[in-house]
Amino acid sequence: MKLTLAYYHIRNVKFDKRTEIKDEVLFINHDELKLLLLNDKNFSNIEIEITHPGEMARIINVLDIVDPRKKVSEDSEVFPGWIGKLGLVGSGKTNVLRNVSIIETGSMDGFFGGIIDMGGMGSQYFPYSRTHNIILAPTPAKGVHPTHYAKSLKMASLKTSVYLGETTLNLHPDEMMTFDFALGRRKSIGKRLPRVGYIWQVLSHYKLREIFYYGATSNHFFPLLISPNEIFDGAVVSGHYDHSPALKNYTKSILNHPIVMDLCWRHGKDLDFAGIVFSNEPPDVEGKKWNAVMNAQIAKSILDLDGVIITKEGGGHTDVDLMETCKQCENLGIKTAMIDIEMLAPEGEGDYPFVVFEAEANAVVSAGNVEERVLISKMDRVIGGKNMKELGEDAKAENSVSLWLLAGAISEIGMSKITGKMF
Amino acid sequence: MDNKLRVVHYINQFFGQMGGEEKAGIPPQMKEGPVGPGMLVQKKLGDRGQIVATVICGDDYFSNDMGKAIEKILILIRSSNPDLLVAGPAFNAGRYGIACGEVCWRANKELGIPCVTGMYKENPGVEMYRKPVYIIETAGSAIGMKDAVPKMVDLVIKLFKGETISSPLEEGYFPRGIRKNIFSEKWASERVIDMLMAKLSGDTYMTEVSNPTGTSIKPSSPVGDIGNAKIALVTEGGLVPKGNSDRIEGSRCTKFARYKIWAKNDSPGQQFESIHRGFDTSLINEDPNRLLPIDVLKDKEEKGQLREISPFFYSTCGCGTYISEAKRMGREIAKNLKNEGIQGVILPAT
Amino acid sequence: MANEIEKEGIPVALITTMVTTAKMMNVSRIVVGGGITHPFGNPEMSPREEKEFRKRLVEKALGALKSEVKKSTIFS
Repeated sequence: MKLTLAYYHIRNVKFDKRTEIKDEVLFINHDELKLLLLNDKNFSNIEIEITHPGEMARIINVLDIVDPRKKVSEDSEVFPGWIGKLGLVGSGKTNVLRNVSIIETGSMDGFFGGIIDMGGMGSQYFPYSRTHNIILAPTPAKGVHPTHYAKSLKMASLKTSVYLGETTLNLHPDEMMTFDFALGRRKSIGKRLPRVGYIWQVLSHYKLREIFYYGATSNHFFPLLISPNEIFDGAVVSGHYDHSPALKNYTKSILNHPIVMDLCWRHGKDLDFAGIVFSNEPPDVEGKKWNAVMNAQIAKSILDLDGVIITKEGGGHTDVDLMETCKQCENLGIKTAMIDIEMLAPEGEGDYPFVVFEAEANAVVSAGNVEERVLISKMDRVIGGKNMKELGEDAKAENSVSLWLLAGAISEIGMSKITGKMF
Repeated sequence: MDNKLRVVHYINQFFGQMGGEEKAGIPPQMKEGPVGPGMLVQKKLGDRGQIVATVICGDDYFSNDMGKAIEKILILIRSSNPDLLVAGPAFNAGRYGIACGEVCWRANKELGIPCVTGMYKENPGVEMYRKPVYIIETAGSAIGMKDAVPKMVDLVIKLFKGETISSPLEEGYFPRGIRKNIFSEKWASERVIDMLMAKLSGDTYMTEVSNPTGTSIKPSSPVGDIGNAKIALVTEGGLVPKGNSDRIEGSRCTKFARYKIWAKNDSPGQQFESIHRGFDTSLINEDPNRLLPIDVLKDKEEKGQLREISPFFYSTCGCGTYISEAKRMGREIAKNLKNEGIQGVILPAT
Repeated sequence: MANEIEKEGIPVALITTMVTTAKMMNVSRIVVGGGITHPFGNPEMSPREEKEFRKRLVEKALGALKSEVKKSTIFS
């Protein structure tokens, strides 16, 4: 499977009469996009706004983040099962706009949103305060059920992604990257490089707290082998509406999965990237143990790994998934390294950063203490609603908030420089 | 710069030049200016500060009755009105190390002044005091004096000025068990792959989170005669009367409450619900007996297999709860249970 | 919380499936429960079987409270 990602660098985003890219500026026809999205009867209205890095703007009720992408193909499209028809993706050419993010916002009973500060003290923590952001802020129609509304929100951001992605057709990209390697069992390349794989554990438990694969919930999945190319074409999409902003992966972080991209980049250089195990974390301890055995089984007998990177998605219980998978792999002679978040008191006290800690876990990268408090500055405007309960009386005010409220600041798949250190 | 900082130096009988082990029983006393190693401390302070007094106490006097000794020492320290305090360094001397740790801790707590001491890693004072007190790591003996004192002085002055204290490695103190977030140079994704590659090639690498060791608790004696026992239920499953009028938090909880248990043949699913945000609560909401087995316990009570099941259960929520809060709530609940004459607890956890 | 209650001298039977965590925290009496979402239940069973399961688990918990333990012990 060979996929070429063509990147188009964008330096600004503005509303204008036509949706197009001119001179590295993305122009958007506001009314046309609004009309397209209002086709969904679950919305009674939708506000679309733009904000730029450095602006004193606070986006609230952030549920997901996507980037504009489009497949250059007649019979295949990104986000299979949503926009693209159901069928294998990950080959051909896909265009991606760089430096632009689509922010999906919404507020409803049971939803758990985060914030993104574009400027001020808080902005240093997010990767998404550095992109030009297009915010979708719909209003639900009367009587819409949260699970249906969530589906509509998701469709809206993915539709917007492809709608904006279309602007790249017939333009020359700034950079092209080709991913051309069959994973799974195959002949090893040239000299003997260590075979390294990635066990990517996601959290999919119930509606509003799930991850989609080709449009289907991964609620009852067994571990499965997937290819990097599918990820870049949007086969995996976040369905986390009722989940702490820090303990989930945003669709844009997934589309640009830093561990997957790094392993692809290093393939053939100092490692032999053998494959990705996509694995849902079961909700019960027995299930977690069983799943860990399955993960290790695939890693050993099918991928024949020397070493494996393991990550998790979620809070306390999921340390069990992480540690059990580590233990099972190490016991089979596969060396492991993992990323975990710390859950300590705000001042950093507490002897137990993780809920469980196995002796085999001797190579752990910290993604930071999610409870630490950070200062965010006073803003000039708030986008995506009036307020959120975590922000107190005035959503624009200077505040001290927990790090977990900042959408994208904590990243369990490593898209962050925040880390915990012993003092 | 301001007036010179007023510094008090705490040392034992040996470094105070009063004698060796035979003088280890001397009570606390104060001398003007620097004594013994205090000379080096003064030299390193330079213009920044002045040792106005040295407090000397025998190591045996201190360890025989810590309470009495520390009160006397604090009185002496207080009388000098210091801005900061330096103790030791104690190197590997155990009684001395413990004394230095206790003096620093109490002086900081009660006089509000920054304090620093120094010890060798095997000194028992390190494990006891590393959390509340900054302890500079020293060599095993006085050979390390020249190396330790400058670090102690620099650190205590930084503390006084309220400057940001860098990592243990940079400043030279024993890690205090506090985790703080910093920005690394690289994304976690890059660091985790680098770490794996180092591990695979046998190169050295440093894990970013080390495994902590557990503290041991001595188990309570068992309930003697179950047939004659009063048993209570405590849970962190977040079970509350519908509507949650006590507003128990579904995550990062800081409250607990006491609720009446239901009768054997009630439908508790109509009166109670779980507000726990960490898992799917539908099974428990359907039948709360799945969390608190009151139907079975009531049955046993009726049959005489238990003397009494407490008419109340304690409920809190264990989703992302800070350990410090859990400990505090546990202590309060424990006291209540003791007052209620409870002899055994069943604690269903989720 | 279990450890704090034990400190007051009241024995505690902790019902959990996160046994490794409980051991790490040195909880004295650990009883293996039905599941995270149903410590004293089992939705796979019929209501009658589930009640029987609950009865046996309660008896195990009471048994743990009656037992003398010297260190962290798992009752399963």
